[in-house]
Amino acid sequence: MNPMMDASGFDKSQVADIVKVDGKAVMFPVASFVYPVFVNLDLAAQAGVTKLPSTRAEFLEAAKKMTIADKNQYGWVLPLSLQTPSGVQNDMMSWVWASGQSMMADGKPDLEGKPVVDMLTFVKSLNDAGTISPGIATKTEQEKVEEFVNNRVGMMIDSLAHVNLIRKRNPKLNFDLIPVPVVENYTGKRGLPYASWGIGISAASKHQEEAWKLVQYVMSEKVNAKLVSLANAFPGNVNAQPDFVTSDKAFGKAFEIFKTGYLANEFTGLPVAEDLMTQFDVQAQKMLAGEQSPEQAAAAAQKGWMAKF
Amino acid sequence: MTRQKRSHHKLKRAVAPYLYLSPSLLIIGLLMLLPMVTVIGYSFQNSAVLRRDPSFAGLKHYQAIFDDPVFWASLWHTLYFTCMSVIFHMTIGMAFALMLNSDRINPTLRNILRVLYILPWLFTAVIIAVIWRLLLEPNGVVNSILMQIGIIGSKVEWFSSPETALHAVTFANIWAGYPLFMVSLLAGLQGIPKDFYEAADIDGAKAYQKLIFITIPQLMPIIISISLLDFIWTMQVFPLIWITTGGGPIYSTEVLSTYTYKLAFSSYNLSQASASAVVILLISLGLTLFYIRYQKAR
Repeated sequence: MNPMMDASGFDKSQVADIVKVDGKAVMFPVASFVYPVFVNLDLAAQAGVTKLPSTRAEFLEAAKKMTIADKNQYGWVLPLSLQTPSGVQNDMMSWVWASGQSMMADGKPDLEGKPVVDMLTFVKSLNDAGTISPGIATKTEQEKVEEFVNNRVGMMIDSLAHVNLIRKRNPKLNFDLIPVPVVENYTGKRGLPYASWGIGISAASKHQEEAWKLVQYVMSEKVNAKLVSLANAFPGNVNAQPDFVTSDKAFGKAFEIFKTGYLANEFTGLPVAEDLMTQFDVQAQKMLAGEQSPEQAAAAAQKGWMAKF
Repeated sequence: MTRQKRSHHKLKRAVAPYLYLSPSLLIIGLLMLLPMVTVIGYSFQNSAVLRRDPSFAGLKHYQAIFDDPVFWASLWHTLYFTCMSVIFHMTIGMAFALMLNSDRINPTLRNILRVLYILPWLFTAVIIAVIWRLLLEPNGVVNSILMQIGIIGSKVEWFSSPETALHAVTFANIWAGYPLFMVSLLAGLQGIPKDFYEAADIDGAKAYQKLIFITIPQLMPIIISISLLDFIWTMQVFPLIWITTGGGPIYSTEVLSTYTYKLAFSSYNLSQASASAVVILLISLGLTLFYIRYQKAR
């Protein structure tokens, strides 16, 4: 869409994210469902966690405090089922993006780089401390939400789209939303993992101009605000404000997180993204099973990913 | 009748059977042969389905899957899963069939047991997977009971641990599949003439001797037929494994069906997925030919 954007003088700064393939813009997220950390405030209070975690170290401490294994209560939940390996994107790589870091370098995977190895080391430390709810290797996203809803885990990274579902399943659940904690001393903008409804134009389309008009219309401030208000999602146009953020406290808080950070999901636009996640998932599982170190897991995943690029 | 009329009549008689068969042949051709031939074709192409002009790949994709250690692990897991399932389906099915056929059990209790024993057969694979996932989850009922009676000291992650996952899915499949054997063998047991047992009683045969020398030989045709069919069906089980473990943890429950699925719908490597599917087809075909030969010999 680069030539169309240039020809029409489209203001790129109004778009929350531009998904590129080989450096070319191919998609705008129209409506985004971001993934903050959900915290069970009652479990946090019982565990003596008075300040909600902002850094990885604070998160580890909070998770340890909230874990009472005898009561089937854990600090964190990590779904790494191979059936749906999206846990790699939402629950693991989100730690990398939150600190403004990347799993890529020059358009290629950089899994052996410090950001990913540090994230794996951090996840391993959470596992070694026994703070992760058991059954990681077969746990799905739905089960993760169920455990949170039933007061069995203190914290989870999850889609904002699940707020209403969580309230419906347990109206008494007292929870809050916080951004994904960052590495020590990081003060920059936080990357916010997200899933989205995207819009782009097929290269084979015979009506490129008309399609571009539609894209501009959907991405315009007022129309985008109206659309995402109906979808309970966050806008693709950074100037648009959905109506639910003023009427709902949780969505309002999440919207603040959204506005102070930036959308980050490096899997969007990658070749065979699900396969890449599966490969990373297998290596992470091996690491959590004690079969290899974080460095070895990163190196093995890097080798597998490079074969796909 | 003229010569021409006679030859026309002969032709009609020769063609008629094929005309009667044509609807079935057409359906078999469209629904079975065409997809099979297409998949075999894909396995010899590069970028099958994904490109309009796929090039000929020869045996490249077969070489690729044979070089993949995960494929061989999947094959071994498939064999373990299938053999254990068939053996236990047969053993449990036989035990329950003998129990239900016994005159020593109260008829009312027998009818209740008959309903209970057949229950697993009524559930779909998805329900079975959900039931066993709930029962065997680390905080589930099974761990709780086993810990209370002192068999295990801590929670076992049945489906999430590489050491136990394959045994756990095999167990779930055994539970789901034994009623087929039970029903078939019960029908067979009811068809064995009572005279055989009466003659054995006169000769002073013991219960285990009657089982070995009368019951099992009489049931052998059923046992072999059902075992072969069960072997073919179990080898292709997908939903139960996919829903319970997704082929994990790591690759510990990867079987040929999940391996093929991941190649097709996770890697989008439809050529290699087709090659893997053809390998499954060949194994199933071998077993099917064995089954047909056995049926013909009977």
